[in-house]
Amino acid sequence: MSELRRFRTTDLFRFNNVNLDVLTETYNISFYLTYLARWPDLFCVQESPSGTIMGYIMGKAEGRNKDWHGHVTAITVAPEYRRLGLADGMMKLLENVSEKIYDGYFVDLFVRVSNKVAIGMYKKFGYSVFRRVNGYYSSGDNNEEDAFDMRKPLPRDEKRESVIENGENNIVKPEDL
Amino acid sequence: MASIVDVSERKIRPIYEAIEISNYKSALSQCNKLLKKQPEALILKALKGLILERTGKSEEALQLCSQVKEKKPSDEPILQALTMVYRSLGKLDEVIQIYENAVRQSPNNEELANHWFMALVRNHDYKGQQQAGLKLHKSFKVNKYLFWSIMSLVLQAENAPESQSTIFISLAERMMVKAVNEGRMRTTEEVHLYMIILLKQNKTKEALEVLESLKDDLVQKCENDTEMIHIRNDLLLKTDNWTKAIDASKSSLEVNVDDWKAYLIYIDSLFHIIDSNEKDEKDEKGEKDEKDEKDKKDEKGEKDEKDEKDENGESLNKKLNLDAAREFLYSLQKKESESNDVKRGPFLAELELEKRVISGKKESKPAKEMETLTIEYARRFGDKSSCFEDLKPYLKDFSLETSKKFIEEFKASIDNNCEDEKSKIRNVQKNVNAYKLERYLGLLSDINESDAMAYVDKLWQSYNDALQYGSKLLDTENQYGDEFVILASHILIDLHNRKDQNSFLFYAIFLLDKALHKSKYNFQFKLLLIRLYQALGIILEPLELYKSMDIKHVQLDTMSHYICARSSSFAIYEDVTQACYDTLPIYRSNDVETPEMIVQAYKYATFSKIQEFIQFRKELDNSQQKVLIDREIIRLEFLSVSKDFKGAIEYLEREIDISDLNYDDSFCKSLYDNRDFVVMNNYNSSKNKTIEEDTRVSPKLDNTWLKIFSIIPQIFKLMHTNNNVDSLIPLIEELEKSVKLENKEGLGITLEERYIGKTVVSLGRLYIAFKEVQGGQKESVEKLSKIIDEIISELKDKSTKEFSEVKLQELSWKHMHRFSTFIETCNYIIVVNKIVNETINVKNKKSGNKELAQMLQVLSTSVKENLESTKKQLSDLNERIKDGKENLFSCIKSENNIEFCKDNENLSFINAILTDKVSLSWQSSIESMIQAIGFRI
Repeated sequence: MSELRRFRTTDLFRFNNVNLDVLTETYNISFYLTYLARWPDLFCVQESPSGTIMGYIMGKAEGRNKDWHGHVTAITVAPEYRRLGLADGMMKLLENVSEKIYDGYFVDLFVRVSNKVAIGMYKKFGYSVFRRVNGYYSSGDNNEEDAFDMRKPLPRDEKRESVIENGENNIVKPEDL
Repeated sequence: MASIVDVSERKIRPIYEAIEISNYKSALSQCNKLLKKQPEALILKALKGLILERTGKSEEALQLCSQVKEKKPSDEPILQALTMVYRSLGKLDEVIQIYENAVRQSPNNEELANHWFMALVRNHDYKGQQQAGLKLHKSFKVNKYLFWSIMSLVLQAENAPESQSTIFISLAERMMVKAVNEGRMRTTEEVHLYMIILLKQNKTKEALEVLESLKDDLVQKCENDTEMIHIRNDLLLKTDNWTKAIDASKSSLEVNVDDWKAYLIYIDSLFHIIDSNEKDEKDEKGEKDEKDEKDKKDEKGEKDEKDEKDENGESLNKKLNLDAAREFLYSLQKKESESNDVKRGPFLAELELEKRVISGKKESKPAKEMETLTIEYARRFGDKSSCFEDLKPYLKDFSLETSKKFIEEFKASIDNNCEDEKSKIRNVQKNVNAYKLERYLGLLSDINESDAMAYVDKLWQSYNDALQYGSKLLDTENQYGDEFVILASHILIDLHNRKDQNSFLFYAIFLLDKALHKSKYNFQFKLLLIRLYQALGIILEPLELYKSMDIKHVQLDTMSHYICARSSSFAIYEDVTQACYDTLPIYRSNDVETPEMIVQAYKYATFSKIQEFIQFRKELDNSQQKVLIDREIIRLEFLSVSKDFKGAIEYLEREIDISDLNYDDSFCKSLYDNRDFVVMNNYNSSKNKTIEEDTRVSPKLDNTWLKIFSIIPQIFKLMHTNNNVDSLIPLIEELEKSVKLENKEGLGITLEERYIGKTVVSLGRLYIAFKEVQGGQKESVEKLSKIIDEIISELKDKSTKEFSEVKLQELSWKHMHRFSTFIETCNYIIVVNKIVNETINVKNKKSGNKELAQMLQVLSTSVKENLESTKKQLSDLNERIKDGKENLFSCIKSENNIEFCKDNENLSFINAILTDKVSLSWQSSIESMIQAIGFRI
């Protein structure tokens, strides 16, 4: 139960309950404002009836020709608002905007291969693994981790060319993205 | 015309490369070499200007740049170099001018013209923007430029006095209408701009008409934009289009059954329709008595239709009453109940609907009582962590009896005999919610101490029981039962506030710290621990905890108060000064990054965000926290530099600039308080203070605090530099007014800070009296001596004698604050004493001066005596901490002890906290204070 609305710039002052969670990265001003300036309709927030920010999604539209698609850059829900279907609502919104406004062929996202919970959730939403990116996540030391590039075709991709079977075995290097 | 082609790319490249790697020496010598051959090459001059600016020679740089500027260059590399110089020297006007000139030289260069516009944007020159936008549109026929111009008019209107504002905004509207008629409005963002213009003039009807008359693909674009949907819905409500609003909310709910805003629109509209139905009924009663109630409603419904001329309204009004609304919600509920993943939407909406029925003055009765509805909701969604927050608004008016019954029924509904793990985990959440609600409903308010301790034990037991289900959780996740520990610490905080015994805080720290080992990243634990440690006068561990939360960027503005407010009280001067400084980069980023983002918003024609970005920049730029930190840094630094008098004087000379120390009312009013005080979980009843307030170790810094600590450095600066006392008097009076403010709830200063202020007032008066004596007013000698006597007797009063008695288990923030502010006060006296003394020594030693010198000597001796005795107390205390570490724990344990402390397995854990975190920080603070005193005696 929430209000799904566009992210407002001053929400940055009040998103601590979401961003203090260790897995949610806080970026610099330019990062958020660039998204707001270019894709204001792909950066949305879920607000609770009492006015607390519960989570948000930020995305962009990118690619050329048949690779033109919506991309989920970040999606996060504060710990106390998980298991309420908020991510579901936000993903639907991003997919809808990618389809109706940007006329994309698919929506994609990257996820750590170890993040079983998230992968399961995305599969439930209709996403499948398109490829595995070696060492996509690297945080300095030896903490390298592969990412799954997961995709969901939109109606424009009638022949479902943007997805493949067994993408888990389709291994690429980050520089080839 | 000036041109770049004079110098080949090949020759310039190495200069750029050298600049890029900050090798300015090499860049300069290469530049000079080329300049010898081609002394008039503008690109070389401009680059040299840039190099000079980068190496701190601003004057020379500006001179060179203005030579280049005079030649009106229009080559991009030259303009770029000049822009960089001007921008980093804050001369945005110059940037505008060079591009304006360049555009005149090359009127067909679209890129240059864009740069010109953006230079105006960076300088918030809305009038210039508007004209530039028009010119661009005329030259290059791109629609976007026209809308830039219109947007600029809106901003002009926002920043103009009211009379002009109306002119600007109606001009913007006319331009917009023309643009629409010419078919230029093609994007959602342009529609948004139109909405901004109309709504600014409260033209809600017109705005709605615009939205409803959109054509072609704009219709689809706007229908799929959440923001446009919200704007339209708001407009429907504002224009009393209840039927349409109902339709809109229903179609939103078809897509998303959890859309709270849609329910609110539905319910709002519903009650408006019912209201107007009843009103019409009354009006018609006399005329049509023959028909029965229901028919009347129907007929009136039809009448409404006609009034609204609403073709799509169908016959909604006819049927729409409370029962129909209930039917609608029940049908949504039924659908949800059949799904695997039941959404809360329609169930919470039912609570909202009936709450409004109850709170309305109508005769209508709720279909179900709130007691029933809330318990039904709790039974259904008790396993969701949001259940507590969901129910809060609906439990507010519960009596004690109802509350008890509610909690009993909720607890009884939890099946503790279930077998499977998933259900058990759900039960953990249900129990957590039951405890939270119990607290919120005030059922624990009169619990006695031993019951409270038993309650804490029960919560800790529940936490421990829940740990088994979380063994497989990742490091980054919280344990299922973490909230039990939060709740336990809240109880202990209540007890501390009631009984003023620190042992309760220690217990809370033990539990939280222990639980933090299992949920390493639980920031709720960390925030509470920061506050609790601080309450005990401990800062080192809070600094560590704060660092571990990886607080950065915009969070520095909102979160740093947890660590920076009154950080000087802990006397660990270097560390806390650093913590304050670490906060400042965000304000610099705002200066550098946000204007570029406003430029981006224009570039992508995102008109809905331009005002937002400007507002964001303003709120961060005028952040209250930024100013509070600045003043705290001055306190910390001044104390540290005035170890010796020379350092103090140098600091006053170099670092203190009166014009930076604004504090007047209009300045204070312009500040934004972005500090986050709500992020700490709070389950207290809405009648009570929040847990954040309960755990504040001292009053929240406010503008009074800001005033006091802005005036004090100003007074010192004036005493040092200004022989004219006239400017000092108003400052002293203003300071006195602030420290004499009535002590009421919410005032942001402590008694000790009043005392600092009061002493500085006396010191200012002392200085003035001294000047009078020097000026030949003999009678002021007496005044002087009186002031000195006053300061001395106050010093004795405030001297921290009673602390020699303090028990270790009672040591708290208050003691640290008393000690540190006393040292700070003494420091101010010493500095003034020396400032005055210096003036005497410089002059010939007249007989009168001798008398003055003696008086100052008395003051100085008294300060030293007091510092000596404080030092002795501190040293004693320090010794006792060192000796007492071993038995601190036995002192903390009182008769009412928590089970956790009785368990021998926890002893070494507890002792480690007491030694490594508690005693160590106390000792560091005290030793630092002893050292600070040492420099002064």
